[in-house]
Amino acid sequence: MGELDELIIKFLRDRLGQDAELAIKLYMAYKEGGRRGVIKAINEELSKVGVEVNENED
Amino acid sequence: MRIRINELIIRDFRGFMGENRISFNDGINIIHGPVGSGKTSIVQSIEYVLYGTQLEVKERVSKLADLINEEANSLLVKLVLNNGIEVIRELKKSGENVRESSSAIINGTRYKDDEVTSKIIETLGVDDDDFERFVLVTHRTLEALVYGSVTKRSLFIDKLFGLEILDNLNRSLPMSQIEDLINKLRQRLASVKELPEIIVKYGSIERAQGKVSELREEIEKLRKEEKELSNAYNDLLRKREELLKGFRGIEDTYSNYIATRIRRENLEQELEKAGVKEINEISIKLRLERLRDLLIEKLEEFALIKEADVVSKLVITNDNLSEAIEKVYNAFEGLAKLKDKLIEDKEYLSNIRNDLELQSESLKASLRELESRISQEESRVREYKALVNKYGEPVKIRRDIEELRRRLEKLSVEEGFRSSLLNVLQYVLSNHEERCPVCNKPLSEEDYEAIKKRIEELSRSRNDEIEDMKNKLNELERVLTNMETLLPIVNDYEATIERARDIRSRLETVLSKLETIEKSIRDIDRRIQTLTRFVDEFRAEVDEIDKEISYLRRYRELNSLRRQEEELRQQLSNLGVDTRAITSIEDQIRYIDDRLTQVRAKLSDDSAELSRLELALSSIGFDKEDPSTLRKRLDFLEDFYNRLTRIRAGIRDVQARVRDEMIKIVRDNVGSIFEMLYPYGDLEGAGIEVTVKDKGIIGVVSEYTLYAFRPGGRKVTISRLSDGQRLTIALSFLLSVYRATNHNIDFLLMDEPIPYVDENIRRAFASLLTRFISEGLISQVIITTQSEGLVNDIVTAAREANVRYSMIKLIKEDNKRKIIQDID
Repeated sequence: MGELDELIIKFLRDRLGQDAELAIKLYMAYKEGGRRGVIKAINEELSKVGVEVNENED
Repeated sequence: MRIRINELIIRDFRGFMGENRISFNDGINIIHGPVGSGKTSIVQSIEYVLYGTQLEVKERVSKLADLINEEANSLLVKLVLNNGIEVIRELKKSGENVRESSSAIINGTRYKDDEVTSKIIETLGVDDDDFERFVLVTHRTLEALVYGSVTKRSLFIDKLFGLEILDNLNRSLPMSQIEDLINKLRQRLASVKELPEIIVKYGSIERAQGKVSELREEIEKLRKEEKELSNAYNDLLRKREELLKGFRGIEDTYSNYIATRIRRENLEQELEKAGVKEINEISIKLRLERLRDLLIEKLEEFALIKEADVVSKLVITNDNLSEAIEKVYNAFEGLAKLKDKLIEDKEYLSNIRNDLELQSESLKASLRELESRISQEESRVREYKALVNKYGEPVKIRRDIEELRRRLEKLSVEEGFRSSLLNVLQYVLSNHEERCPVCNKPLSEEDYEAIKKRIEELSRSRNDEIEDMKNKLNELERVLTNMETLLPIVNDYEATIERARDIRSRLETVLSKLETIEKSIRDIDRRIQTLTRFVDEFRAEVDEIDKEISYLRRYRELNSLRRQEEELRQQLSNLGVDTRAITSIEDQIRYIDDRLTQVRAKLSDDSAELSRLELALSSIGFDKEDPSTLRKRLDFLEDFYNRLTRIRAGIRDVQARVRDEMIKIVRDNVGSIFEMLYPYGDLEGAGIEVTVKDKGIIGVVSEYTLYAFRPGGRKVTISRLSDGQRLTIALSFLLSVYRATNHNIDFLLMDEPIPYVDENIRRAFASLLTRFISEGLISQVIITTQSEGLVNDIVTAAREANVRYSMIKLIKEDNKRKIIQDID
């Protein structure tokens, strides 16, 4: 993780409180897998209630 | 030691067939060749071997498999860095896919496959995104920085700062899809609005479904029963009609008989239900009379004379029980109202008492305060009075002082005269003067004798008297001062005493009023209690008697109905009607009618419930989800959507903060690097600023301004600068980002950075490159170009600046590419 990532993650934590962990997860997912990575991370959350989103553009 | 590239070996990579090797040196490495000779492939191979991917693959312009030469089934790239670091990646076609194997040696340790990329990133301190941002420089980079609109430039700088990723992340969030999911769920839940109630009532959908089956069976049974009862009912009606067929003209008597009978039976049932077997009219009358007398007594006691008079005139007989109880009750209402009035009075008095209590508390508090003041002042007042006793009132003391002062003054004058005269006489005597020094008269012996005598007289001083007088005067003055100090206290004391007396008197009045009111309240309370007890007991008894009178009325009606029924029955019998048979049919008809009513009511209720259940259950179907699950899902999605909305807003804020941070870090570096790179005197430095603008529906955007300083500090925006100056600012900015990032790389890859520029810019750029090296900003530059002119300019500039350079020539022959290396 580079300096920029650390800075972004620090600011996300400062700004988002209890939503920060999800924001960081999405940020890292985007870094690693682009939009596909983000959708995968979101679907992990949505699987708790048995729904999912696809990779089609919004 | 910072990392530079020593050697690149590529095999079957894109247009390069077989194995090709390039050595790189510190200084400038120029890769020169015509279009299509593989310059960009070399740059791509370096990114690929380091990170296992490259920009075109990431942007989906090409696939990894496209990196393998068309004639080959696999590729290999090996990169040798200084410090003994080596990275190798091999890519093999496998059907439609590719398979990659990789290895790296870092600090003597070998890493394989999955470990390689992460170890490389760790060692270089730069990931593939950062690499593309500021290590790999293309003409797109420089053009975006120095040409084009502010918006485009700003977007590019955001990208260079790595902020573009946050925009992309925001755009990647599937907000619309989640919104759709929420809307669909809301629609589903709206269509099963009744389901929550059903679940509450039956426990679950399954149980509600069970209930549907039960209801269907029950309704079936009820319909069957209704049909049977209806048939039986119709049969009985027919039978009754047949029985009465032969007796025309008796319909009224018959109807009357049946109605009387029904009324009689109903009354019997009603009285039986109430447990009434026999009614004692005398007992009711006596009880009512006793109540009347009690009431008169109480009305008189409470001075309701008019009501007492009405009731006392009431004569109760067995025939007027209902009217009598009505009158008794009306009079009794007067007492009940009086009780309510007394309660109101008591409340009113209680409020006054509360006010008086407050007044009394307040007066007591004032009195306590005044008494405390009096007690504090008392000793000073005693002191004052003692002084008055001893010295009199201050007026007298002032008079005494005046008198004493006058006397003292007179005495002092006399004493002064005596003293002067004594001095003169003693002088005359001691010098034995012949003449008087005052009047010049000759002095005789007699005179001297007289002088001696006079001296003797004058020698008796009145100093003691004066001293006493002075002491007395001082004492009186001290006393007067003391009394004047005490006087305000004495005055206040007397005023306070007066006020205390007044307040005490007011308190006594209030306490007296309180006592009176307390007494009144107690009296009213007693009356209320007495009345309440009486009212409650009386009402209970009057209600009971009223009930008995009501039963008596019905009992009398019952007896009358019995007689009437018997008369009607007799009339019908006389007409030859078998009343027993017909009443039996009537009983059966009534029974079946009642039963039919019950069955139909139940049928109606069950059918309504079934319809409601079927309607609600049909909206979700028997095999679908429980609404509570849908509700939970909706809640979760709404919450999740809100979280994502907050995250989007947060990301925008974070982007602004990171932008500010980056600007802070980069701003100073841009200036100092510009000074190193720009050799002329017309510009002294450069910088970058960011401004946030609200662009209406587009939203808030950040706009960057790159500028230079004229001597004297005046800012000049990039649009007013020459191409060479712009290029210098662009490269200063790039290098400042490069330096601001904490990494271990010490090389820059430039892929055709300035195509299609005139020779002045080319020369300026060549000069800048050599300054990168000579100023120690960077140790190694690898630049590709097809421009012979740029090559010559770089070589010339490098030679002039004594900067090391090397040349790698690429040659394209048919479909083959060759590398010819010429190291300076």
